[in-house]
Amino acid sequence: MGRIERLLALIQDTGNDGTLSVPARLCIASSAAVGVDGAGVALINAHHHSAVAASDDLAGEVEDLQASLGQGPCFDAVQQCRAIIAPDLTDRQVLNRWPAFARSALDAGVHAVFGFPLSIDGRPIGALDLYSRTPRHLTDRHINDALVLADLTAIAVHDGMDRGRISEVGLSSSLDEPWAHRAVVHHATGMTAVELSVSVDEALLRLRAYAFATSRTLDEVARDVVARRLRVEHWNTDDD
Amino acid sequence: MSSPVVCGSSTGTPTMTDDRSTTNSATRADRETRIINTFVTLADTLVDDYDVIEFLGVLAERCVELIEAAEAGILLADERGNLQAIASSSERTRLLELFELQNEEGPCLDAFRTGETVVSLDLVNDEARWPRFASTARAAGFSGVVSVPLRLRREVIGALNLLRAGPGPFADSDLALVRALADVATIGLLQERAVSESRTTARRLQIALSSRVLIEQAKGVLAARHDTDIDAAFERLRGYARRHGLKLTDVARAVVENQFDLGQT
Repeated sequence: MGRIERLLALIQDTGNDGTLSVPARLCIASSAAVGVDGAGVALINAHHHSAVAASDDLAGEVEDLQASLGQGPCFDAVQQCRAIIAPDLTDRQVLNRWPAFARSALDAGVHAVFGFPLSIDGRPIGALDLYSRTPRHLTDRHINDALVLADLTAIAVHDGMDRGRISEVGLSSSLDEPWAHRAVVHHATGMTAVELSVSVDEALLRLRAYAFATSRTLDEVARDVVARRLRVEHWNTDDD
Repeated sequence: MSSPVVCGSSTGTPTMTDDRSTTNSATRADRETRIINTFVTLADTLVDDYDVIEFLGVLAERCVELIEAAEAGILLADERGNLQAIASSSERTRLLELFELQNEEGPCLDAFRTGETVVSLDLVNDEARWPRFASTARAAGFSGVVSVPLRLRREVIGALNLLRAGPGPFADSDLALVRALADVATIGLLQERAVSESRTTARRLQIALSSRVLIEQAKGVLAARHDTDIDAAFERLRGYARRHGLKLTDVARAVVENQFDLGQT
């Protein structure tokens, strides 16, 4: 199973009690995918931190710490536009980098933090932060999963926040059979496959992921792609 | 394969034919010849290098010629009972959407569910029956419709849909001919292929539906590659297939799966 397909299936299975926003679900799914204890999402604008969602209270607390102390993985991720990996907050270099945040986070019970930038058109707008209670290294697979989930989160916070409803549509595994779709979805799939230089199967998964992240139906997304009102961006991803 | 019938004006509405009461014996003989030729052509297609999409496309085009309808389409039910347009007399997106609409309401859905032919002589009178379909069809220039179920023994596997631009009755002989063509369509869908192992009904339908998916995907691929709209992309695909004597499905598959470039033409 390809990476996106696997992650969509994971998202479908987590946090689906129907009450959570898309960013909150992505926090829970990211935490599960990478095998850490929590995740939070924040928008960062000119060093101003605005919390969007968190998987649980501890994650929320650590987001608050970053906001009030003005330091932490989310700021670095945005500033440097790359993933920030801190497997052990007791490490001397980490303590030098974040003197206030590292100590406060340790006091709160967090021993490792990771920040992944949320990028739109190559411009970082915020971060997906992951937290572990114990020191922890991430495998390449974890990191690549987190990068894809960060891309989805970026879409969700940038394009999907003004929608009232939460849609399972993009996730539904009953969409596995291609003939379940209307022609417009196939047209959009073909176009996206060319634009992203991927297979049609991969292109369809990306359209579904986009639909989920923006709480829109697949048909709506497809119509916009065909009308060239929407271009599904190239994502950080290579397959498992 | 014969060249397609081009119906009427650029808006897609056909020119009206002569009043039926003035049909003379020469016209009748001519029509009979055309009917016979249609069945011969379809029989040839059935045995020779069979491609279900081509076959149904020819059948749809011939329906339009013989019944003097504006457009025709063949819809098949997938595993979940949703009707999918497999072939039609024209691939114009607007027409295909009219067929897709009938998943939720319309004469094809009724024909599929009841197993009976459904006729509307003037959609103005059927706004209550099919509110969305009737208004969309009328806006597209159609006023009359016939839907004939595709039946295999007790099972209904889809429907053959004819749309016409002018109101008025359908002749009994026309309805009988449409039913015969619907039967041919059903046989064509389910007949044994000379080369391969025997397949179940479900598998054959699956193949037809998969071919349709490939063709639609190919439209998208070509539209993106050549920066055109979907309908123009289909013209390019079909033009290439016809010029090279290739099956539409095969060219579509090459475009989608092997990044085959049709060239500048």
